[in-house]
Amino acid sequence: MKKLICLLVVGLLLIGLPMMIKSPYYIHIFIISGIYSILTMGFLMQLRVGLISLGVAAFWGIGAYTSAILTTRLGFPFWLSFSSSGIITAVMAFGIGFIIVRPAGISFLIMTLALNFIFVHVMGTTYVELFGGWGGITGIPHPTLFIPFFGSLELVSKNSYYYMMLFLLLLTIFVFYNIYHSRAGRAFDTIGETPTLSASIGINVFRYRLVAFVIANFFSGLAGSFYAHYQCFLVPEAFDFWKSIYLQIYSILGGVSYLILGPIVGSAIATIVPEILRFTGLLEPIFYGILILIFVLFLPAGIVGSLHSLHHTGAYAQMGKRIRALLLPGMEIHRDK
Amino acid sequence: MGLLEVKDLYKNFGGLSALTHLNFDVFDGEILGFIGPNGAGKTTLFNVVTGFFPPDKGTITFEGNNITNLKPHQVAQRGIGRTFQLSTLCMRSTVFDNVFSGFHLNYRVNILRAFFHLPSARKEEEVMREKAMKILEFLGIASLKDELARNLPHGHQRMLGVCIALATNPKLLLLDEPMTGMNPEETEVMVGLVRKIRDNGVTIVIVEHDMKAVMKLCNRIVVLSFGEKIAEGVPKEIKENKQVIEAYLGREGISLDVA
Repeated sequence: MKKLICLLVVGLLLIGLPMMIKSPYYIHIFIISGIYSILTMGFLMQLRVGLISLGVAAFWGIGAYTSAILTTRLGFPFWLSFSSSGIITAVMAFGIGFIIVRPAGISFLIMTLALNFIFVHVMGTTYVELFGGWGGITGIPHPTLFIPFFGSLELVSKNSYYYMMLFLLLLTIFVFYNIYHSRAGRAFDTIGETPTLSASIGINVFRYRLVAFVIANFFSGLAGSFYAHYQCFLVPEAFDFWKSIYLQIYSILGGVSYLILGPIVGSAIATIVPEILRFTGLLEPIFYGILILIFVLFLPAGIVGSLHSLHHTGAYAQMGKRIRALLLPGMEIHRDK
Repeated sequence: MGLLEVKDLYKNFGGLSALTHLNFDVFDGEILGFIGPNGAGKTTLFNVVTGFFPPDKGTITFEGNNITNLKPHQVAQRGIGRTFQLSTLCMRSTVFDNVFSGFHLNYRVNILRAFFHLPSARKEEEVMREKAMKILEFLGIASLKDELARNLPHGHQRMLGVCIALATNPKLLLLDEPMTGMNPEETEVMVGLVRKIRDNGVTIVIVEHDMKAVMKLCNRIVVLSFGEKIAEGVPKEIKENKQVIEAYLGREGISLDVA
């Protein structure tokens, strides 16, 4: 019951956010951090099965470029390009994963990193008429939703993008949550901790790793498509390997054992903090770096992890008690009796 | 006909031959012990049988089916469970979750139903929860079910390893030094447990250095030395075998009569 109320409050807050924050710039930050949350969740799903991927941004880019090419070059409608970008990314992840997932470990890491470099280079230098070269692809149309009996609706405003991002994020959370809480999730846990034991209890380690790799990158692809239609232009450098590295920072900030809440909190903090630090001007990266260092040193379990352990030690109950004592002294005494 | 038949098995690591011309059968319902000095190839044998290392030559037959070149998870699917010499557990998970993970092969409900947590999937998991508790009670560590595996004392970690292997519902269980690092009382308990598991219809192959326990527990013993079988027989024969005493204890002529 308590959980349900919490969910309801959070849900209302998320839906009402654009009404509270009027500035489109802040909405933009929320949208971007939503995209990063999805990517970070994908990164964590791969990490869960022992695959450290440095190529999430490449699959994000594959999704984005697929959608961009389908709509600008072939005139696909938005919904078709959106769904097919997810599917095409997943198919490519399956093909690539079939080769690189099997060795796992450090070679997987290096190969995903290489993949990211290759992707950026290929997009920048080959088939310039198709991929747009280093100048990228411009003029990607806004998403249009076709609603029966109402006609088509073009999503242009920041708010409509915000709601679309929210929908995509909730879809990702729903799928990931259900996977983590089913037998597949339990198999993921075991594989991540000890592949040897997993194999001895009958888990097909390679297959589950490949499944995690494909599912994670399917959602990266969807996020990429959304990003393409949101930005309306793409350049290869937007998907360079630094983006993949940032995802690791986000996941560490949130806490790597919190597979859904961690990425959301981590990427939100990581996108909002630089905005707050903007007044420092050129020194911003230094402050940002120091801040992350502090977070990692003093909150090794991540932000969500630290809040969680506070909850376990009863610190919240204490805090609540103190607040009640401050606000309603009489009531507190009455309760103690 | 044996439950597990190993014929002419060879395994080399580079120039080192870990297993040479190995033949043995495991019969239904027995406890077969493997002993031998360190580096005799006992653990390698387990790894080859369970598919972790492919053999260089030879055949392994389980219940009449050739399982020689199967992958580890396929071997597990056929009904061979194993434990590891080093405690191989999900250290960050609770004892209960560890055992629960061992049920991976027992899911019958469609994966889509499991994804949407439909009642049939939930019911199946409920049944598995009960089974997991039964296994924990069977091995006497039910009171530790919410403890993290990494916080367990060594002896209990070994037991948990057996619990996970039992959760896969094996016909043949390979125990790799289950009594290592246990004190005499714990060893005594473990001996009783292994017998109890056998009495429940699981055939057992055990590698163990604790001579006293092996002699007491096993119906038959195979002795390995430098990857070769040097003796096979009931404990009494093994104890009196000159070659075994030589290989195991050097030429000092120390008796193996520890029991």
